[in-house]
Amino acid sequence: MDCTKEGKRICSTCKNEIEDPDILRCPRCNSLLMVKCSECRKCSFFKKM
Amino acid sequence: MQSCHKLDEINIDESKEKVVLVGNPNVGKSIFFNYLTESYVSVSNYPGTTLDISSGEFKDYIVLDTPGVYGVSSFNDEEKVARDIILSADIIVNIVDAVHLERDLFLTQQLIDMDKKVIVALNIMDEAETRGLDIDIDELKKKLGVEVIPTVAVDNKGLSMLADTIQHAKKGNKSLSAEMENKLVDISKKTKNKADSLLILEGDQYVAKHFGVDALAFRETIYNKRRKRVNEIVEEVITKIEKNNTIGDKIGSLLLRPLSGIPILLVILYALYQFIGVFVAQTLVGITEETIMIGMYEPFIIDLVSNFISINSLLGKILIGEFGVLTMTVTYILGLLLPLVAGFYFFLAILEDSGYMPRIAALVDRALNYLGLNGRAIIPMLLGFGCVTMATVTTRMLGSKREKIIAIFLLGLAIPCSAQLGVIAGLIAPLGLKYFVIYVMTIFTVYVIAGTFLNKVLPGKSTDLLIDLPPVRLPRLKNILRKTYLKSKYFIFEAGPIFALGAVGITLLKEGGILQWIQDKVAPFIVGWLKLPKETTEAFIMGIIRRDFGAAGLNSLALTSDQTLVSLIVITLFVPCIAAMLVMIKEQGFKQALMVWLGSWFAAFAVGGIVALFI
Repeated sequence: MDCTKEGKRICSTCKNEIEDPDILRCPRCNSLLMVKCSECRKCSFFKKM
Repeated sequence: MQSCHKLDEINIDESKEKVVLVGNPNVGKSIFFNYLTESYVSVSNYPGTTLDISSGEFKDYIVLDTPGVYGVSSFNDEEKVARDIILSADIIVNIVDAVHLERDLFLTQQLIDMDKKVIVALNIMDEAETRGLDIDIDELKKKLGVEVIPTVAVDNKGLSMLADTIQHAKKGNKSLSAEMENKLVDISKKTKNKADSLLILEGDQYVAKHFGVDALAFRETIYNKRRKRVNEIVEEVITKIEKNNTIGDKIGSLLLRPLSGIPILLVILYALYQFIGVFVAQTLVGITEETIMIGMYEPFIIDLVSNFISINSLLGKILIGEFGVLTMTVTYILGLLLPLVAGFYFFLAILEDSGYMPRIAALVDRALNYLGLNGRAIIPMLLGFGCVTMATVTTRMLGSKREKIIAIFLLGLAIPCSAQLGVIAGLIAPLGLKYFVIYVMTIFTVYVIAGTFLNKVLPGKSTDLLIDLPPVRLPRLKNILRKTYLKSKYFIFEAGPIFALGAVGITLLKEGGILQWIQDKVAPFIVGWLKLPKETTEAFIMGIIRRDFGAAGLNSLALTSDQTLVSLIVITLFVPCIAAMLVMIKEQGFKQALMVWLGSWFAAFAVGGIVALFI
């Protein structure tokens, strides 16, 4: 998915795109961000980075 | 006001100022809309109730309701719709959930940063108090720089004060850095308004494209700064007083744990069956259909019309014949279907307003994963037991197109609507437990096989379940009765004319000998394969118009227990009603709706025949 190729996490709650790998919560909706990309469960976001 | 956005679908008087209601999902926007405009849009205790835009008038203002959003941007369709309306707003009433202030104030701050006139309704204050949250309202006003009105919308508390304060809405204290403010001024030279400029600065491609500029990449910088400010505000205005878990919290937790949640769910489903299938379908319908409609109304109307028109004429048959518009149609709709539909909506409204629906979603998430769905899909599925047409619209809340396709197909195939369910329950209950179990297991097996098959063949992956769990609340009787009344009324107006047309069609087919011809032609199939009497064809033809009419048509046939079971399975899996088909075409396109329609024919007769072979 684009989110991993572009090195972004997508917040599963509000769909906000987050580039900063150090952020734990989505700035927009305050939800906890998953380590893995929300669209593709196979690859880890951090591995791609 | 210059804006790149048009409200094409709503006819708005441009001379009037627009008050736009904005808030996160499930904060009660629709209650505010209902109060201000004295109209009614559906209110529920689960996210995503507002999928279309409602407009109404309040004093000299036009009031617009919007779908719940976490921020103003273009990440999904709801946001795009909300964004356009927010950009065109003169005044924004921002409804904030006092329990989730940290989450909701981000949107508030963004609206203020957009240079809009804002007034904040701090809603669900009762819940905040119960949870031991002490919010310093005066400090919050000072920090935000706008009016903040505490409200408990479901109890009408604070709403009149909010209505009186709308005219005092003002621009608040921004969170942007000096650097961003300067950039905003630069872009505003081109856009002529700061709201559009801010979205361009935050990287909104759609708004940027409209103004012929490039979207800028400062979203993360601005969002992080805004988040920091919101956290600071929350830190200063909220004092948490330690309180024990409320009864609602404890019940909510029990509903979520599989060990206690699944038995509770089964008990609730059994209660639903007892209420609809036994009490309404047998006792109540016994009175409304047999005693009132067949015993009193039909003889009266037949007598009355016979004075003017011969019962043996074509018009007489259309009006008061076997499938008469004034006899059978009225009896089925008012005597049979209305009590069932109203009963179901009543039960469903209790589940919706108590906050139980999202908890069922969490409970069944893993099971639905096998069908390519996540737990969220349980909401349209349960709503489908009320009305498949309405449920099809709510599949918009699902995360991906793939999930929508699967959910719509399953809704069209194997979920009987309340009217149909009531008739089915009424017909199957007297046959005993064995037939009931075979019926439920057959439909369930078809449901699982169809879902698993689609999950295998459709490309892509389904999304994870992330759903807000609203607090468990005691439903308000007034809201439940109102919802039941309005949805039942909608059913009568929607189903009545279609049913009447269907009845006229059947009478004409019968009088023209075409019904007999169809019956003769399909008799080998109906009699040979399904082992049903050929008269069942009439019910199936009615079922093409609406499945519940088809099921109701089975009521008047003399069928054995085995035949009743087979015919009920066929009519359950049969084609979706005309209204549901039209919504499917709108949501998924003609090709997919046609596939659902043809798939239903195949599944209904194939499964019906197989069951007929084995019983």
